[in-house]
Amino acid sequence: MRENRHPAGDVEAQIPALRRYARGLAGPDQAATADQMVAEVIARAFSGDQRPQIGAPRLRLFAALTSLNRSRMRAARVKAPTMTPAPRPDRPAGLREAFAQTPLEGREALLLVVVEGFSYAQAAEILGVNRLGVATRLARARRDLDARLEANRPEPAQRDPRRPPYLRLVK
Amino acid sequence: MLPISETELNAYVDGETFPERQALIKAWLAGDPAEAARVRAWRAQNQALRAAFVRILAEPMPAGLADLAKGRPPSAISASARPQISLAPPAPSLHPWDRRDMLAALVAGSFLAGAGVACMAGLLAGLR
Repeated sequence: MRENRHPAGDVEAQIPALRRYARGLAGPDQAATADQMVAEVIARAFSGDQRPQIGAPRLRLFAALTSLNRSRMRAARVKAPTMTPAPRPDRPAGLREAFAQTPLEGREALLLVVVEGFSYAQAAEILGVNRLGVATRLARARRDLDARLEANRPEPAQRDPRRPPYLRLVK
Repeated sequence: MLPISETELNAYVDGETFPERQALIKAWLAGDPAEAARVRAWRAQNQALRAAFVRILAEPMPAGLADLAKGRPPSAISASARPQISLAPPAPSLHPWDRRDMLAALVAGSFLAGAGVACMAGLLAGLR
């Protein structure tokens, strides 16, 4: 007999946000992987054979997704050293690309606080750290993001289309 | 005035500082244009991040996910799920001796046996 720990409506209402969080964790072009993780988290939420958990259902779902993604990343790291694809050379890397290259800890914190709108206290519960831990991760992630955006910024020479042709570099 | 830590500045951007600190930080930023610019950049970055991810909310939900959330039995899910979404958990190898391993063992075994026979033949030839 199945034991429904979550009223079905509660979980269903969280799916769009869970999908968004999963997409941010999995990275660009990983929509199928992201949805698969969400499906697994929902299936586990309904299954009776789970350790007793504390906290609000919404936080529990996000915490489950966080830990599922971490174990997926650990498993993937054994197989392939890099998860994030190299930035495409045909266009300057923007915020999304820089974000995808940011370490997982920072992406988790940014996604939960900035994109999903969780408070530091809620994000702390989801991530299993304290409030200061969340603030520290956010600070590090923003510093990282700033550095990447700065590094990815095209040279002023490339950016200016009015540059006279005779000044172009001959390759 | 004591400088504000980077961590607290981040909390300020996220609206997570105590009200009494908020006024203090605001006053401090007024006297430090470089830090004020950093705070503005982070706020813009927050907005850009939200904008980059907001469209995912509007995407149609895969049928399999909606069924799962409603607590429908797995058979109904697999029938309506999109083909690229496998709802089954990654199947662990049930037995270490699956077919591929058997084949590898067979190849390795026959190679070793062959090498052994060759060795013995060589040895015998040498003894003669």
